[in-house]
Amino acid sequence: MRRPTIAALLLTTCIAGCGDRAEVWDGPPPNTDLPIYGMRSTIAFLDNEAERVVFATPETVGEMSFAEVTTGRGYQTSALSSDRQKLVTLTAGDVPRRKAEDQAPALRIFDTAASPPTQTVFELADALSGLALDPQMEFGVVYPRGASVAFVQNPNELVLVRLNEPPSETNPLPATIRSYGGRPEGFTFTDELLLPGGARRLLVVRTDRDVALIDLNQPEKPEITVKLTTGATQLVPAGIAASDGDPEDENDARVAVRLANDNSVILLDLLPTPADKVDTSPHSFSPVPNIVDVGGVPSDITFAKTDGGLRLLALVPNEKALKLVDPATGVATSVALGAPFEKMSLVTNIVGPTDAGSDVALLWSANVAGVAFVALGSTIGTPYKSVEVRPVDFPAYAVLDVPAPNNHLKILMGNQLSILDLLSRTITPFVTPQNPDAFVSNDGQRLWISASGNDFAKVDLTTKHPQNYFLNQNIGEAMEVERADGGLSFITIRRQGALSLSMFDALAPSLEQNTEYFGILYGDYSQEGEQ
Amino acid sequence: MSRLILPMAIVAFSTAFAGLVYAQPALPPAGSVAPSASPPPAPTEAPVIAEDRDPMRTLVTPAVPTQAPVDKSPPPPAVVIAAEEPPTAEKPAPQPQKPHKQHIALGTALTASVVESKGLDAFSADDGLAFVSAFGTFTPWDTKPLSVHLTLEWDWTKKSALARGADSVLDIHRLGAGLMVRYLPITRMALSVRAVPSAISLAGRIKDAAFGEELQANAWTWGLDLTGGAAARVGAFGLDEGPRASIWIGLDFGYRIAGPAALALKPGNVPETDADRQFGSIPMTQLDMSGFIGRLNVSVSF
Repeated sequence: MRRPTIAALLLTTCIAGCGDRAEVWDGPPPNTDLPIYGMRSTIAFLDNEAERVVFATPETVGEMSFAEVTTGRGYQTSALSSDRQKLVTLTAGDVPRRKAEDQAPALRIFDTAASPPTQTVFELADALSGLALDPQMEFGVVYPRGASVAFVQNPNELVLVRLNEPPSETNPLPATIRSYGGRPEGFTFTDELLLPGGARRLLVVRTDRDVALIDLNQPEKPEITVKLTTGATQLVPAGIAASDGDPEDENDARVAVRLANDNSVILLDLLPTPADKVDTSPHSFSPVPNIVDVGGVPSDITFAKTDGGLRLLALVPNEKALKLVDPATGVATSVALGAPFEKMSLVTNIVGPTDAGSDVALLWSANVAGVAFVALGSTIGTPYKSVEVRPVDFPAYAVLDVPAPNNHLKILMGNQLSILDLLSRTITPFVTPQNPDAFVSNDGQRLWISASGNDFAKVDLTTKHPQNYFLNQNIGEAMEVERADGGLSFITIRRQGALSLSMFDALAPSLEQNTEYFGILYGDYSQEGEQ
Repeated sequence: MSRLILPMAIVAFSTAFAGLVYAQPALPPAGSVAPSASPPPAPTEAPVIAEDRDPMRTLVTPAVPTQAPVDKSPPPPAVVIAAEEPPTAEKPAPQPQKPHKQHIALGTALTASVVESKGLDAFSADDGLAFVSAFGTFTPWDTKPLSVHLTLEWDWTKKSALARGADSVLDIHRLGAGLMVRYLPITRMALSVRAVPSAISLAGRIKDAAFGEELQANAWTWGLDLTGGAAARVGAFGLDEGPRASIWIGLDFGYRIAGPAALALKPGNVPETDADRQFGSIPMTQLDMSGFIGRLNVSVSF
C-alpha cells in the first residue's frame, strides 16, 4: 500500500498547489480609504483593489440591485460631477508598461444616467495623479500632483479632456504651462466671459507662484502666464474670482487673485491685445494686472454689485473688515464687521437685491459664533447699507446650501447644528451630539443628521421638526438616493468587513421597511456572473 | 499550471498502479485448478489382516469333557478365523468448485478535482479540491469479461481560505448515481468507464466583521462525471477466476461537467433578537464545479 499512498499524496499536493486566485481576496479591503459616492440614483463603491466600481441602486423600498463596471489599475483619484450623475476616475494603469497589452493611464467617466452605467475611457500618454473637474462638466484637467508615478515627469504638463466629446487624437489635449519654478496646484473654471474677440470660458491655473490663463474655447493655443513673483518674496496665489462685468461690455471682464501671504489682491483686467502685439499674440485679449493693498491677508474674495458699481469684496479677518475694491480705480474702502469673519457667500438670488439692486452677502467663520448679513447698499460715504450680525451658539466651519423650494435656508455646521433662515434672518438651533454629520436631500425637503453611533434623525425643513431613528448597526456614512420606482431611499453605509448598507424609505423611515445588505465587496455584479 | 498537473498526476499514479499489479505474487493462469486448502481425498481402504485383538474375530475351540482326565500333553494350537468384512462402497470423484459471482462492491476513494471557476476564489486560495468519497456498486448481471454496474457514490470536501481578509469556508457534498461498464482482460485487472450524474450541494460561509455572524451562501447544482480508469486486484478469497471476495485498487481520470451554482450571501444564524431584521442577498461569482478529476479508490467486491 505504500506506493498508492505516495501517489495519492502526490496528486493531492499537486492539485492543491495549482491555480492562483486574484490577490484581492487575500487581504481586507481598505475600508476607511475606499471612495464611496452617493450619486443621484445610485451609490458608487470604488473597489479599486478589484479594479471595479460597484453601483448599488435602490429599486424599491426593500430591494436593491447591484452592477459593476471594470475600471483600470493604479487608481489615483476620482471626482463626482456637480449634478452627481457622473463619476470620473483617474488610473495610472500598469507602471511601467512593458507590453502592448499592459493598461495605459486613463481617465474614465461612468455615466449613471444609463442602466447599467456606461463608461467612456480616455487613454492618457502619461500617468498623472491629479484631477480637477469643471463644475459645468465640459472639461476635466489631469495634472501631476504629489509624488510622480512616472520615471520622468514634467510637473507643468496638463492634460485637458473634453468630457462631452468622444476620445480622439485631439481629445485629450496635452498642454504645458510656462514655469517659473512652480507647479499647478489649483484650477478655476470661469463662467462664460465676454472678452475681446468673443465670449469664452477661461481656465485659471494657480501654481505656488504664478497664475496662468487658458482659453477653453481654443485650448490648443498657448496659455497666458502672469508672473506674480518678481521680488525676493514669493507670492502664493490662494484664491480666484472672476467677473464678466457689464454683460454688454467686452472690455470689463476681470480675474482677481487672492494671495495667501500678502495683503494684496491682484486684479487682472482682460483687455484687448495691445496693438503692437496683435500680430504676434495668438490671443485677442491680454491680462493687465493691478495690485491693490487691502490692509491684511484676505481670507476670501468675490465680485459683487453695489449701487456704486462692481466691487471686489475681500474679507480681511485680522482687520475684522470687509474691503470693497473698485476694480476700475483700485481704491479700497473698508466695512467694519466687528468680528474676524473668514468666508462669504452672495445670497442675493435668495433674499433678493437691495432697493438699489445691490448684492447681499452672508459671512461666517470657524472662529466666530455668529453670522453676518452685509447689504451692499452704498459705497460712498458709508460704504454699506447694513451689517447685521446674528449670534449662533457655535462657530460654523461650513454652511450647507439647501435646494429649492427651501433655498432660503442655510445649514450652519459646527460642533452643533442650526438652520438659518435667510429671509426672516432667524436661526433654529438643534441639540445634537458633538460634531454631527449632516446633508440635505436633493429636493430640499429634508435634512439628515447622523453621528457616530446607531442614531440618525430626519428634520423636515419646512416645519423644522426632527424625527429620531435607531439603527441596528453603526452609521458610517449616510446619503439619499433616488429610487428606480420614483421614491427616495435613505441609505447608511458601515465601513466594516466587506462593507454593509442599510436602506430605508426616505419619506417614511421605518425599521420594518429596512433592508440590510452585508458583504457588498464579496459580491460579483458583472453581467455574465461567471468569469 | 493546472494543465501540467494532471499529466504529472497521471504519471505518478500510473507508476504506482503498475507497481501494484506487478508486485502481486504470481497466480496460476486462468482455468487451472486452484490450490485448495482442504486435505486431499483419502484413497479407498485396503483389506486389513486380522489381528488377535480384532473384535470381529471368532474364536473356535474343541469341546472339553466335564470330568476329563487331565491331559498332560500340550494343548493343540488354537485356530483363529477372521470374519470377512463387507466391501466398502466406492466414493464419487470430487467436483471442481463453481466460480463465485460477485454482485456488490463497496469502497472508499480520494477524489481530486481541479476547479478553475472564479467562483471558488472566495473560499480557496487555489483551484484544487480533494474529496473524500465512499461508493458502492451493484452488478445485476455479472457477465465476464464485460459487465455493467450500477454505482452510487458520495463525495465530501471542505475548503477554507480568506475572503478579503475574512475567514471563509466552503462545504461541498456530492451524491451521484450512475453506470459503470467494466472489462476484465485478466482476472487481476479491470478497465472501466463511468458516467455518473450527481447532485452537488455547496454551502459557503464567510465570517464578516460588519455583521458579527456568518454570512452564508447555499446552492445546489448538477454534475456529470465522465471517467475512465483501471483497477488492480490486490487480494482475493476463493477461486482465482471467481473469488468470493476481491480487493481492488483503482485509478480513474476524467472530467466533471457541472452546472454553474448561483451563490448568494446573506446573514445566517441570525440571533432571535434580530429575527425581525430583513436582509438582502449579495450575489457571488457563480461557482462552476466543472473540471478534470482523478480518483484513487480502494474497494472490496463480493
